[in-house]
Amino acid sequence: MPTHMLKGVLGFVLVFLGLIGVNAQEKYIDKNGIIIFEASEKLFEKVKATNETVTTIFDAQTNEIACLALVKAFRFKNALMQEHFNENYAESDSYPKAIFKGKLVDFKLEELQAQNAEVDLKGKLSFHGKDKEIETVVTVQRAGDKLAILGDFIVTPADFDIKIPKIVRNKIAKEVQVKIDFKLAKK
Amino acid sequence: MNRRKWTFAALVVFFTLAMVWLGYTVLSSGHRSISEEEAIYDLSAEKLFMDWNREGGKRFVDQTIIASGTITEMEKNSVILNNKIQVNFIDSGLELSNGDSLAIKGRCVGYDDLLELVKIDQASIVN
Repeated sequence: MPTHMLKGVLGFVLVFLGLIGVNAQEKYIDKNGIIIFEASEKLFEKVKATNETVTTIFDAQTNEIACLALVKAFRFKNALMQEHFNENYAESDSYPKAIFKGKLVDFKLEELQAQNAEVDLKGKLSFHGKDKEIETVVTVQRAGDKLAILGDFIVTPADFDIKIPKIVRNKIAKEVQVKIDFKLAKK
Repeated sequence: MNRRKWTFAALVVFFTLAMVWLGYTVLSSGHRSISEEEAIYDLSAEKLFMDWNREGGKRFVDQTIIASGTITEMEKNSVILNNKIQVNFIDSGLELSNGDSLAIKGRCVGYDDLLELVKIDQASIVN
């Protein structure tokens, strides 16, 4: 092989490796993120569940963020409530995942210093076979190679075509508050 | 006659109490205790991952599983075995390190397609 061709191939390989390297460096991952949802009504038992094994991947180059929560990992204080949630409302055997895909709008990671930043988060939440557009403001904090994303938003059971039977309707709030708490580390 | 009445009253009270107790235990029944349950499957992390990807994994969901493998990644309360399964322990502060081989018992929660990992929670160490 002529030398110039060899150089060309070598250059190509180096550029390719470089690309992989850059890509790999700009991913932030959390395997144990927290999502809490609450739909409690005053005077009634708390309707609240926590998932502490949410996966989140943030791509700092494109600002794209993807989260995945396994529905069965939502834990209620009351085991019976958890069973009802899985069987009758979320139908987690048929719809095992809640997935959010979105973007941190106009976010510039390199400009983010120690202080918190309020960032628009826009995207689509898929749950129970239905999609819902989500738009909220989250707090992003950076500490070295770690990135914390905190926020909340409101959804309703109707957004996801979940019907609440009349008999329990006054025990479950019309609006469900969802809180997110992710701590991502550079990978 | 009087005695009969008393017996009847005692029976009613007893029956009522029994029903209340039964109702209470059913309604407030606690969560599963995975570490005390008999495992339905006992397999390696690799096998669990392969079987899941081949057949979809429905038979594993919500089941108590013993899985064994080598720790390839660690976080405060969870480990990754063979880059194939993520295990979250009930107890925190376990003394483990990368490269340790172990078997765990836990509940299979599902499959994470973002990271391509089978997730297991409420785990405890078996050996």
